[in-house]
Amino acid sequence: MNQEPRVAVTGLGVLCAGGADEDAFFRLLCSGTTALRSEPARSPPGLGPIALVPQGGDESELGERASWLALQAALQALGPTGPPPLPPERLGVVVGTTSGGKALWLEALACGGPARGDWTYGAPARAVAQRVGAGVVEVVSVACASGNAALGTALDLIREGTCDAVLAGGVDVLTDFVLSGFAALRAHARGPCRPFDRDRDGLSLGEGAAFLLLEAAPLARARGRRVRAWLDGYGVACDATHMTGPDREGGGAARAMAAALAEAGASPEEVDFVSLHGTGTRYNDLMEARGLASALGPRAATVPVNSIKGAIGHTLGAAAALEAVMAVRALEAQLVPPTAGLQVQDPEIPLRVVHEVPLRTRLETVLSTASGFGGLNAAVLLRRGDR
Amino acid sequence: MSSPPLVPVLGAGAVAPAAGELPVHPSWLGRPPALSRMDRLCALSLCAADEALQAAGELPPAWHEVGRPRMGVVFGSAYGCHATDEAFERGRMEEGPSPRLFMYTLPSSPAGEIAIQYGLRGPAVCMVPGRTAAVSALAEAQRALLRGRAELMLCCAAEVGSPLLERLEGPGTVDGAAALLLGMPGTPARLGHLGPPCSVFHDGAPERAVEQAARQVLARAGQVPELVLGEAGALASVRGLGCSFQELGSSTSASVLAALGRLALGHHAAVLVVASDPRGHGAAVLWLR
Repeated sequence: MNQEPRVAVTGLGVLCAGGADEDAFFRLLCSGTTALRSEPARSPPGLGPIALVPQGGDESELGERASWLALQAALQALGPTGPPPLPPERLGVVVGTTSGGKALWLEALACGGPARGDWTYGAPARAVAQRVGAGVVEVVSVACASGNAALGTALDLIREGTCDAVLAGGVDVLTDFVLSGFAALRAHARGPCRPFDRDRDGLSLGEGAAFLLLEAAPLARARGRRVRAWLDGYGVACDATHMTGPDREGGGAARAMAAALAEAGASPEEVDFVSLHGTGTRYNDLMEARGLASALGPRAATVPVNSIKGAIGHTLGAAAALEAVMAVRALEAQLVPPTAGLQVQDPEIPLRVVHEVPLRTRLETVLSTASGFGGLNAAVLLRRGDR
Repeated sequence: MSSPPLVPVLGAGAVAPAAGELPVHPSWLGRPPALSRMDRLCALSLCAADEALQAAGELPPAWHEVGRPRMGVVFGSAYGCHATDEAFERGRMEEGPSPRLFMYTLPSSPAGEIAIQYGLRGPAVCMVPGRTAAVSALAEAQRALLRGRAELMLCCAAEVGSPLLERLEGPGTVDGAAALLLGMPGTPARLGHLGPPCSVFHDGAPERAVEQAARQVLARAGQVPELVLGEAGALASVRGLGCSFQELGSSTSASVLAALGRLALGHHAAVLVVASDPRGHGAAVLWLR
């Protein structure tokens, strides 16, 4: 394994309610404000605020919203120079999603006719691959940890020598199907969600896409690309306790985080900031506090942590990819965005949650964790790149 | 790029009940409600996984560890939980959303259910690229083993057909699930070995993707197969390989894993299994005795 290349993050792309590019996105996060809004026209009635991406002028060209979102974010990540000059078999696209092109499937179900286009889980990945000329395509679905799992698969594809560069990310759109499902579980917050707050009462959903361009270090250097961060570790683990509720002790999250640390050769003391899943549900946030204590030991009480779901909502399959983009920007700016929505921290969550204003601090190593239905957990470890 | 070590197949299972029929109840469960509370995709997957575990006989140490932190599951499917999605959506429009059904409207649900039922606390992942999902799942399971994330991996694939799926995708998706139990390289193999799989995307030309995937797999292994197995479309792409060919009766992800699980019963020493998706995917994996 010694000859494996280190994996560089050389590009970022974002499209969510919090911003149509990485600058706007990070600015919103650092402002401590929220993109969550009431959407009375959406079902079910009485729904709390959600974070929708405005429809784009060219959206109808693709005919499928998740693919459009993914393509916008992926092209941003490539930047003006476009994809690396690689043959298709050396360039990959890995997308994490829970629904893919399901909006078209719902339309076909409702109208009784054929689908207007690709309705399957792989639709966004193929839309990106077709545009950039990628010959390796994988689609990963690990519930709300899909974004991190996509990064993990991409990391493996480069390290094992299958690809030299991979566009990896996540995407999901909000349909009434999803909104009413979470309503049936009584999971929606009444107002904008309040991660780690004493009075938190549920999650707020959002939609969006985020992509990271990952390159084998030799390729990035040869192309003269600035290394914005290093993706050094990935961990994935299952709670094996319950389909919708997390392990109360955060066992799966702890194992995923510990595995990411171990793979990166990092000690808990080296971690300077943790991006938590922080959905704002009672059990998730408690579970994460316990899981972090288990993974980091005493360091858990002092390391700065945050959640961005109070700012842009829980974007499901895109969530961890958006958090990875935030983590890279935090490493570059040496700035941890605050947790929007947090007012009074839950005394049962003894963590150093950044809130109200951004925290300026030395950041070399960031851990980002996500968890989802089925007790599925995935974490990634990023280190600071070129200065 | 040097070829990774071969991964041993320790056990295999497959279930294919007729549409509407319940899968065979796994003897170990003894708790019918455990299966009946699940959707069909999860129930089929669990039965196939159970059969693979039982077929493996004496299991490696990772099975016997407390909490099974070194054992995981990868699930693959082309169409995932679309049948459950349909039931949920029709119910939502008629009488309101069902929380019980909603929790199964994720394609990763079978990975979660299998992990819960067996207490697997290692990696749990789901791959859904299309009709090549079984090969993607095998690749992901092999990575978990070769990178030291797990010592024992269940790789499962399942599909559930429906009239809506037939309308959108055409006929051919039958209900079924299959599972392989994979171990660390060096573990005694009961059912042969798998080389590193390969998946290729070639926009609009799945036949070229299959051909490319097959050639990559064989070049890495330095082997010529005696037999190539796959559905008709995929086989047409690799006719030039100069060996015999056998068509799989069904082209689902489950049938690919089921075929791999049966190969040890035959007389071949090297068999290439190929899969394709009309949206541009091709995949191949080499089985060796």
